[in-house]
Amino acid sequence: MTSPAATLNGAKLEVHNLTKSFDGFVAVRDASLIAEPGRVTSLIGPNGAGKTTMFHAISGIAPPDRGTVLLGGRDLGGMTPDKRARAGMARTFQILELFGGLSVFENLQVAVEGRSTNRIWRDLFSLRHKDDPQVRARVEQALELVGITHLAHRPAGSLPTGLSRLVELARALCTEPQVLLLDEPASGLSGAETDRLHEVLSSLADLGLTILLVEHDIDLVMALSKHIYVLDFGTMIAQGAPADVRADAAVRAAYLGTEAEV
Amino acid sequence: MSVESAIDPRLSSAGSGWVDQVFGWVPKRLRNLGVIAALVFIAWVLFAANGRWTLVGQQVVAGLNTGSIAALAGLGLVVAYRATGVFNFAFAGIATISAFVMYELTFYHSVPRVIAMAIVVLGVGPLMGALMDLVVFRSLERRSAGTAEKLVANLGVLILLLGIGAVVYGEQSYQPNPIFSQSQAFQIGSGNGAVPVSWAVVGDVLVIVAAASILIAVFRYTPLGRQVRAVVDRRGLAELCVVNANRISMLSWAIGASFAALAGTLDAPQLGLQNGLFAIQILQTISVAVIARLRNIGAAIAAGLGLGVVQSLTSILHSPHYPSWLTWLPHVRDDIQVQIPILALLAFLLIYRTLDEAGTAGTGGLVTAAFGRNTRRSPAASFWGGLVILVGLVVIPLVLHGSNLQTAGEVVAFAVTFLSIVAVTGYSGHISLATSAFAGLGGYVTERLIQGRLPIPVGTAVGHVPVIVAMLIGGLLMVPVGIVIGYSALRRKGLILGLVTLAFAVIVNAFVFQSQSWFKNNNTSGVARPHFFGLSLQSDRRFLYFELVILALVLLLVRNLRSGVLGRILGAMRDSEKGAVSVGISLRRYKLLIFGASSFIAAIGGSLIAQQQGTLNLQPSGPLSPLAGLYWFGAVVVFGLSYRTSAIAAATLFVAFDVLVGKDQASLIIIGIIALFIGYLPGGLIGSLLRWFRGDSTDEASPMQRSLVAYALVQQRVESAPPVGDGLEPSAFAERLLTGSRR
Repeated sequence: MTSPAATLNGAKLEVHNLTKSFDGFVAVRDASLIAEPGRVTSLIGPNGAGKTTMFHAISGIAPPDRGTVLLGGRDLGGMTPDKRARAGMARTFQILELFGGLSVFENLQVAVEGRSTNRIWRDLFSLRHKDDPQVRARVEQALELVGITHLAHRPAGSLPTGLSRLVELARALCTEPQVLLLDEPASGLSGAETDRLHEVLSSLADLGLTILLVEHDIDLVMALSKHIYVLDFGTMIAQGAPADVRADAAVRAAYLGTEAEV
Repeated sequence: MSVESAIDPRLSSAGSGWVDQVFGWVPKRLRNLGVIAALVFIAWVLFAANGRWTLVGQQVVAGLNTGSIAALAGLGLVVAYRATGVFNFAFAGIATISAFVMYELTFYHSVPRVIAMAIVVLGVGPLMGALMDLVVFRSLERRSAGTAEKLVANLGVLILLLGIGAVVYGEQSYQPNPIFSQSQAFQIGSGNGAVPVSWAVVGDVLVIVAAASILIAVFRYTPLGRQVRAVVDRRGLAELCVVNANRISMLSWAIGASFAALAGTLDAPQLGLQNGLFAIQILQTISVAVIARLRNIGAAIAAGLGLGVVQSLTSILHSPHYPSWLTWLPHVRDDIQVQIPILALLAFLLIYRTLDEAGTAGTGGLVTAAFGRNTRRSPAASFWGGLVILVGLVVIPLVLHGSNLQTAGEVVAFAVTFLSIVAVTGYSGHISLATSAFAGLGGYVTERLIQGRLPIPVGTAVGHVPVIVAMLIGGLLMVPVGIVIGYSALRRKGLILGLVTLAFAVIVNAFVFQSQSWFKNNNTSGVARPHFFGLSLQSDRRFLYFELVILALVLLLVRNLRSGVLGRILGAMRDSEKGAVSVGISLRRYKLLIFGASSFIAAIGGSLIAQQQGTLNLQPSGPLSPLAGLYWFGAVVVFGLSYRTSAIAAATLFVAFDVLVGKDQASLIIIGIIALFIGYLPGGLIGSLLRWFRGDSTDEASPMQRSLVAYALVQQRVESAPPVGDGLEPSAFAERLLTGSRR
């Protein structure tokens, strides 16, 4: 691999009739969506609508009660989250999940190395450990792509939220994903950082990656997305192009309340 | 339409019947299973009793007696947990010291029992609780320390109290007089079938009913109860609502400790009072609190009484008087009956997967705070450091003589064992309290094979196995055992995992170490030292060299768990499991690997301890008991979980200090005292020292300072729209305040 961008080989993500409940509380009911390669698809909805639950169900962190998840036509049902990640599904988290005790560089190294067991036994019984130059090169490219090279040797746990979100994005890119699930990546970012995120996501989509975005920054969503799904109380209430969704009466009601004028 | 469904229509689908309200603490999938298990047990007992209803009645009454005390202790644990957010391991220590004070007052000073009990339960116990809050936990709460940090500080209190108990009362057993009279209060039924009920039973049951009623009333119906719950949930927010959190917190600790004191004074006459042993027996009432999922007072009482009755009724099941048509039914062994509480504990821990943890959950505090970064040393520093260590290893055995050689040998053997704690908890973030079990089992396998017997109860004779080979077999056999325990860690972390591993240690101790059948034809007086290619390592000096070689190899293995790809993966897994799986790391593979590796190391260490001491001491209060495992954990934590040198320093303190002052377990007091202040020592003593040498500061900004600076930064960003890139970063000062660390 010469650059992360060269391997951005997106695959179609299909979610059909996904249902997830917790102790009788149905958080998501019969939700379906499709995210096509080479474009940003967004999933929006008010707080508590079930967006993050749906991400957890798709990525296997909270396996769904019912429904199917297909990536490039391959059924991911029954797969653990790590297997889904190895199958090409990368994600970021609404509540940051960085490896705070490692440096930013090491966070990304783990993402490149973690899927293979080739060096584990050798490392366990050897006297010296050398970094793989190919891994280093891949990490450096991901850092450069996201624009955080200057943070490489900083402890990840000490970064402010905005920068941490960019590190999570770079880490996800290091897993050679086919689809990227981003859970509120602009949350905590300043205006300038959000602009930078916009640029990065646009270029990743242009390079062929499939991106599914959950985000509350509606301007960013409208600017980036080709297709938007709207979730409310765990049910899909609308979908379509940004302009159509913006004009949808049900969406307005969900965001502004039933008394709102349409 | 209900209020809930008006807010969110999905809420109307959640269960809200009376069954859900009463049994909400029981996972739904378990309810039917529990009913079936109860019916099977009742049917089994009734068939086995074969019409001897008086016997059944007597056993139920006896069970209520023991169960009420277990319920009381469990109730105390639940109350303390709900009121403080800390799982109070130290309650066993408070119960022990309270029982000793009670014994002192009544036996040596002839204070009437009722007055002595009032002094202990209303004075000594609450005082200990209040001091715990004031000295240890207030500062931890102030800086929102994680569950694990508080757990370790709490273990520190336990270690300190038992250390004081050991120094003052030694290992002798005392027999306090019962609090309530054993004479008959009344009888149920008449004639030959009458079941007598003693004043002791009446007294114990009345105490538990009164205590529970008061607690439920206070928690449910008074402003104090609401304030307690508010402080546990969000201390800072409670203070904003003008709740005096310090006072509430201290009161909560005092109430919890008072219950521990009550349980200790009531339990000691039944169990006998021997420092460590009594604490372990009290610790077994953890099962009551766990069955109640740490939250339900009524469930704790039911669980305590239920366990007592089940344990008592089980004695019918090992009676040889089954009716002839039921002789095929299994007979329950005595040792199983004795261990029912701990077996129940393990079963429920495995079933539940999570407990209802109060306040801020998770293991982050201790593990993150105690870890250093994955810093790299320069090659020159590594070379010179290695050379100094090598020269030291060669020279030290030459300059030591006599008993000092033996002490050094013991230090090295314990250091190897302690390295397994560094590996499993320090490097992968899993609290394991089962190290003593693995060490004991490693020593046991070595001893059996050296004796020419297989390490199984039958003990079939085989040829004598060379010591080094036996030690390696012991280590390797523990790998699959460690992997089995590792499976429990796949979905558990923090407190519940610590309890699972502790339960494993207690069960191994009960069913293997204390079992006559495992030690049939045993002669534990001779655990030989090895020969190496014809060279005898019998002398203390040669054996010390041998131990040092083993220590060096284990240090290398542990270093490799921290370095390279494997080290990064374990570090990632420790910091964020969700993050780790999201990049394709198989938690199962690496958790099992680290548990297997640490079990191997512990077993090798246990084998070395046995060889060093020349015998395998598996006594209930001996060096490989479950309680010792807690001491070891505390010892390593106070020096710093993430440092290999911590294992060596902890072993040195643990062994050499006792020798120096000539008092067994005196080091526990030092370890306990340091553990009390673990909140002020991020990274333990060694971590703090390293930071001090490097000129780092551990000063942290208060949440308020951070909020103010964050607000100022947001304002600044909005107003000045700073450029992309480095210019986005806050100043070093502001960033330190935001992140709470200085780089």
